[in-house]
Amino acid sequence: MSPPTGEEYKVLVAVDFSPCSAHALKSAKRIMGRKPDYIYVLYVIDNDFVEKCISSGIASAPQIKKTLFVEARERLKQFLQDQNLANSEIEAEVTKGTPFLEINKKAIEKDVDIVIMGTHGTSGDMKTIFFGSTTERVLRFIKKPVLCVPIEEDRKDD
Amino acid sequence: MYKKILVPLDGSHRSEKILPHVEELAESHGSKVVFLRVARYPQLVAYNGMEMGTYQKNCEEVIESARSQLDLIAGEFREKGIDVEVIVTAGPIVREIVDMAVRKDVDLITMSSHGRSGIGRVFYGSVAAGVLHQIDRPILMIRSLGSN
Repeated sequence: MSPPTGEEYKVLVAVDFSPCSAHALKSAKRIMGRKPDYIYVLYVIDNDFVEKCISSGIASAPQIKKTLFVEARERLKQFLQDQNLANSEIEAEVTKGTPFLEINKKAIEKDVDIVIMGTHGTSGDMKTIFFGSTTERVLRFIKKPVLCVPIEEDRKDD
Repeated sequence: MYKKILVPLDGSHRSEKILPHVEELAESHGSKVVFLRVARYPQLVAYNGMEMGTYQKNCEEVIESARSQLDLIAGEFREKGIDVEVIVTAGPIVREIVDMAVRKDVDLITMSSHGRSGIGRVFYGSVAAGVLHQIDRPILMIRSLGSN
């Protein structure tokens, strides 16, 4: 993908492989009535999860990180294929960190015009309910517009 | 693509930061815009016959004041050729917004991420968060806190 020159419409989609974020990715193909010039897709491996894996002692830290990255990259590739998003159209990345911070960082780094996320993610646990989902945390800090896409039955599209 | 856009406003300048974005969207999509204000009735502190009369009058005034504020904004949009509807309701804020989105069958909701509640709040934009949890259609959130 050649680098942007300036006037292009750039979109960042933050995914977590949930059905909701699959819908968010689908929405990215045509958003706010236009086809983006650049679509960046980001999956963040949660640091907390990595620490838990390491402290459980199932494998060494380097082994765990390597496995998580390999798995995530595979999953991301499949996730994109499921949405018929050819590799040349998008720039997909797996990173490790605190999800809402990494998403914010990427949005700034790529100077996107809009961020797309699912309203809900994968976490159904109490932590999410009480302390806010990743989407909410992103919203707390991000300065860019965010399109929050719910999971829904196909309504009249376009 | 977005035939109808719901724009909840709470009377604060912060919530109105969304308006230029709504205007741009509506103009490029030929969308109809539905402005919604969920008014908050004053608290009823004491109750006797006379109080009720005054209270009712106060409630009506709240609605009227909200409506005229929205009418002002609507007027500016109409001048630009945008089809606008103004609705003022009262009730639980999140519920009213979500229900109106369904009732009006809107394609998109646009909100400022931070509204009236401002500095006293522990959690940001609880209305935005509440709507996020319950909404069944896309919602465009634009930051309204701090410099733009």
